[in-house]
Amino acid sequence: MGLLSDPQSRERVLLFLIRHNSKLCILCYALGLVWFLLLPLPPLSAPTYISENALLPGLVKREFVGGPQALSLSREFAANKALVGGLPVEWLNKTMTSLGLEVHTQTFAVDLPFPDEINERYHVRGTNVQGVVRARRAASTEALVLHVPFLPEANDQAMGLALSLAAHFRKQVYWAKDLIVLVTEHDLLGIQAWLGAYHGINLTSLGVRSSELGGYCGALQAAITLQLSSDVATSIDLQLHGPNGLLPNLDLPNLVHHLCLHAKVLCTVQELLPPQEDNAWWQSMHIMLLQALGQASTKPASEHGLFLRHRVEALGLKAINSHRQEKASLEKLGRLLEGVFRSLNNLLERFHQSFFFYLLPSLQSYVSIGNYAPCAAAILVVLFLCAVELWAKLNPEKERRTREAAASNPASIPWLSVIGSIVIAHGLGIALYLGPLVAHQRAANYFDLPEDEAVSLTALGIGVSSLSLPHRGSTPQGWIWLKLFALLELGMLLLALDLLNFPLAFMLAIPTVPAAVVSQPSHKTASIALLLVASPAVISLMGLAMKTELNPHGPTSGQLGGFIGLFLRWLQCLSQSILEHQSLGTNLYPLFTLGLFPCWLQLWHVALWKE
Amino acid sequence: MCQYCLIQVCTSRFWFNYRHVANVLSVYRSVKRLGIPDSHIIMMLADDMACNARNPRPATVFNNAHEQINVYGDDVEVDYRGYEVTVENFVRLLMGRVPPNTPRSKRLLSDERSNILIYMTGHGGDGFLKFQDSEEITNIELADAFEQMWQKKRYHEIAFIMDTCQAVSMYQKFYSPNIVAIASSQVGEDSLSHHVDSSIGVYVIDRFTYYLLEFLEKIHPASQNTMDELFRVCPKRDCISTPGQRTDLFSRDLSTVLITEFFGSVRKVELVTRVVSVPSLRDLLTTVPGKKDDINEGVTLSNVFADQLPVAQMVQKGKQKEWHPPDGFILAFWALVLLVFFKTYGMKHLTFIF
Amino acid sequence: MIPCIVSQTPMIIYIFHFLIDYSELVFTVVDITTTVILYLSAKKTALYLWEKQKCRKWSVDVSEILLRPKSLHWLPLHVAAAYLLNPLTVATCVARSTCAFHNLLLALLMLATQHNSIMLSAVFLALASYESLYPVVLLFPVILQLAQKEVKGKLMLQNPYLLCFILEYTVVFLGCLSILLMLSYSLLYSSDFIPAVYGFILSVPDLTPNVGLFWYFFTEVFEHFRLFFICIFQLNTFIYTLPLIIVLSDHPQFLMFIQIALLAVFKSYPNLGDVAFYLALLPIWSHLSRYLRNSFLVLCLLLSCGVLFPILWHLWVFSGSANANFYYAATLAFSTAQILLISDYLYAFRRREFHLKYGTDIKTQDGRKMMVELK
Repeated sequence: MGLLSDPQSRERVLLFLIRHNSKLCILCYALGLVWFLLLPLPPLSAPTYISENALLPGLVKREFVGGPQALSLSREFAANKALVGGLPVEWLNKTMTSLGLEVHTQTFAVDLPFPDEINERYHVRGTNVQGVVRARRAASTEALVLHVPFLPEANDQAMGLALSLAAHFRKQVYWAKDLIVLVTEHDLLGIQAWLGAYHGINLTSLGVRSSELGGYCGALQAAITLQLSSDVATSIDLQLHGPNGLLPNLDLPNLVHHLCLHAKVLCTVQELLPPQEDNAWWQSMHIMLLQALGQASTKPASEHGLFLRHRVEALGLKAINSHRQEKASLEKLGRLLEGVFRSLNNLLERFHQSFFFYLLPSLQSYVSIGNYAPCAAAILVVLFLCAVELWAKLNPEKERRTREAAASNPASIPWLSVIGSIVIAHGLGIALYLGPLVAHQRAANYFDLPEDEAVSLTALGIGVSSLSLPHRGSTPQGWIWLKLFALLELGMLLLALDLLNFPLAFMLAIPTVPAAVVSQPSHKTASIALLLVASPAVISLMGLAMKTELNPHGPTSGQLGGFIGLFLRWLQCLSQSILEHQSLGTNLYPLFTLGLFPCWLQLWHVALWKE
Repeated sequence: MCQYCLIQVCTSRFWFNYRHVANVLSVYRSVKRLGIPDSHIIMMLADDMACNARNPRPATVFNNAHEQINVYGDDVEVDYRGYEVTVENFVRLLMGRVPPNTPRSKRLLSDERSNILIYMTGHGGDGFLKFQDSEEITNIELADAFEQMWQKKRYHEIAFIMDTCQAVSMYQKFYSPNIVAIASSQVGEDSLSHHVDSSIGVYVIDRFTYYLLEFLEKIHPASQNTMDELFRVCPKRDCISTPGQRTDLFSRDLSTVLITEFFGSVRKVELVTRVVSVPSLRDLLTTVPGKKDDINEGVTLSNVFADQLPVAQMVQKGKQKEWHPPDGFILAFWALVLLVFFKTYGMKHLTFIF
Repeated sequence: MIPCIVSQTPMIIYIFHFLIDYSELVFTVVDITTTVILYLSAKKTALYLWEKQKCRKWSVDVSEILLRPKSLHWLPLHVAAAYLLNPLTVATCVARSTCAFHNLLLALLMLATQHNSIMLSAVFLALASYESLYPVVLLFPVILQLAQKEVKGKLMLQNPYLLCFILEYTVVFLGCLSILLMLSYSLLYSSDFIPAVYGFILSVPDLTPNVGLFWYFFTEVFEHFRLFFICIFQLNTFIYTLPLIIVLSDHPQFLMFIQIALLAVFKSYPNLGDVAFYLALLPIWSHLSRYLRNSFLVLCLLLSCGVLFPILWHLWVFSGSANANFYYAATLAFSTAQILLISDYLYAFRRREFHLKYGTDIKTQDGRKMMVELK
């Protein structure tokens, strides 16, 4: 409080801030960047450990011997799949019942707002099948989920393994939680319909019609989503993040990693080998960046992601069959899963001991929120410093103010032009948010385009045309007010995002913060250049390029290389993000259009302010 | 009155603490083998492992991976269980301040001739032992409880055995006479488990208790082993933690004290030549003045037995009223503070403060 | 722990017996009425400030810090807009918090006091105190305000007229209050509502998280210290009254504003509606803005709290990934910002008074410009 009440020291601090403002801004920005680059290194990333005592990983003798059964079931499933030409509900029903499971099916229907050209679907109809292994000596108040997404081309072995595991689990007496073997159709849409019906809520704006779900099993404690399309696997890849950058409690990936080590199965994240001694920094950084990009895309890494939104800790396990020597048979994988489920069965409360906010440079180490928060804070401080400087410019400290300045200053706020600009920016943001959905039909008819291209082109059209909106500044001082407002809005946006989805916030902050700080009418060229780099379109394009560059498999075949290919993929992503926002509730598109774009447009107006 | 009493406490809940229950049940089995009857054993188990849904061997508890002995046999009497195992109940049990309707099995019926063995296990820290994952007993509380027992002549000698992390800290504050204490680990050390039963999937026993049992298996009611041998049952290479002991409160030389004085029920029989006439129950009843015939005999008998308990008298004395500060005390206190404040600074100076 | 399910006064419950079906409408109407009353009250206040400025003697060269008729002209509109358009008010209205009624009563009290109506102000003060107990402390500013018109002679404690007036007003107030309490009694035929309403406010049995300071502290505090700390926390709410009266006895308007703001911060179950109410009164004191020192900091803090509250609540209660400490940190920051704001206004007011008395351009003996410090 001394600093706040003593006018002399106050003034000294303020003068210091104003005099060295640009240096301090650069320092903070550089600090944030360097801190982020140092994150994979030991003092900031600590070795992982299992902090939930109740899990007791790896203490039990694994008894699963259903390898051959799993194989034959998967063959049978594949045959029936080919026969039916879709999910063989009848066969599943019959098989699950014969294995002693309590079977329930659920049909659902979703109408997408516009046709999804990539997955080729519009009016989606599907069926989910759920088989329950009831715990004999418990009261059905808690449940675990083994989830197998149905894929037309793959995942047969996962189905076989899940069924034979369920048959094995059915015979055991030690269950304290029910076990649900869940087969869902139409990837995320199916699991969303099931979760919605199970919890009795609908989390998206889209109406999902689904039939009543039988066989309630109590609160879901954990879920494992299995992807396995080969008879043997060389490694298991953990898929962590859910929609909007949600992560499962760190104990869950740690548990699976621990059991993989125990079973001598290679376990990876982001499909990259664990960092080796030489070049560890880059390899850890690579994994961390891929995770960050995945979270920033707000798209779930696999079908498990939607569980996370219902507060169910979930993990996607994807078995990979590469050219490595050590192969794990279905039986070995089954034993691994048995270990995972027996550990989960031991849980007494929901996962809460370990971290929910973390970055993983590798499976052996993690960066906790306390260690990565400083880089977010350092970059936010830049915005605050810049705002303080502007504020001081508008309100010279009263002690030093001369009579003339006092006379000229009051009521000089150019309300009209500033508020006009703010309203225009936000109005355009709303237009950009709603436009593609409202206008895509007309655009598709008019230009004879596929509908999803029409959607992305409409968005692009609205975005680009908003740039050309003329703006006349009336007073020389007006831009300061506008910029102050934009800085505060951007700061609040990034602050909120830092808590919800740190990687996204950081990736937005890196280009936008310098552009926001620099933009002013007197440095027109520099600010326009920086603002163009920081525009939402360019940021998302860069994110996409980075993802392609870092992807361990490189661009998949059939995709065009070069800038044109990138641009086409970007257009696709644009329409996908709108679709995902509507159907799954990911919030990248509203964030860009309703949050980032208005801020950016205001800064654009600042840069083009006519004095 | 029992000459030998045993209190066994397992304070931890939850499936992953299976070993603590197994510890207590194994010690129970050993001392029962040495002749202490169930009526003299008070067992407190905070959780029911045998019936836990996660137990692949329902209704059993094993203390060994070979699963030879089911320590949760047919004749286990658990006196305090589940949520009855609280710090309050434990301290009340020690001091005998139990509610009047408490059954005999839940009372410590001891007097100044009783030797008491107390065995505790659970999760401890420096100076405390966790009960039920929700409350703790501190070493000072425990020491005070023992002192009160001593003053109320509720024990002759106590052997206190503790198998928890940092167990030594629990006996450091004892100050009452005739207590010998043994603990599994020093302050700052963890007490470790011995091995896993991989078919049950949990750690089944702690190291200290494992070696203690191994030692007790060799004892029989006529053994001449002395208490100081107990200090050497678990050397550091076996236990990994360093067991500690405290003998300074104990008046006798421990190398002369037989183990069976605490772990067994060998009665010292004194032969007399005199003929002692024991009055029959009916005679006892006639000494009760008045109404002899018109009272239901059963009721009267139970009254007579209840009256014999010193506990009952203690309870009937009535609880002392606890002292509370008067309701207005705090307000008056603040009024005083304000008064002093104004007296010191005066009204005028207030303007400069704000 | 919680003695009753409902902790509203019997009158409110009785009234809502009829209004519950139209509650959306009722709350909207109440908010709009409050706005209108605030407008009228601010108009009167502006006049009062103007009158007061005219009839006092000022030091030389203070013209630039004097009130201007132009700014006073727009003042009522600013107040009304600040109340009606404040997102916090809208949120309170949407949430249908009875805080809206509380605010209405406070606004009515201010209006009645401005119009020097002894009876009405006593009635509204009694109603407000009956509703939520804390407004009892507004008795002092109201008395001071009314006494300026009603009492002859100087406002000194030795003045028998003043004492007489205080006595008179207090009797009227207590009379109103007792009538209200008796009415409530006759509604229920029991006095259970007194512990259920006022006991509930004073002993803080409900620890549902809110934007205040009580809930977290009393979930953490040991049971046997509870009484002691409740006394301290409640005392803290009332303790500022006496020194504030001494300092601001000539400016009951400002005293009332500060009191309302302090109650909004320190009461046992504060909510955002209370904050919205006193924020709406800020435009009345906009002439102090040149002496505010931390306004930007406070602005940033309040804004970020506004963003953090819903997010941290979501992370804690819905997604379960953050915990109570995160949310409590935000409430702490929020309270700090409010206290900074209030103390800043108090300082600015005192400083302006000082300059009005001694001039703006004061030099020390060696010719340097003098600085005013807050000690």
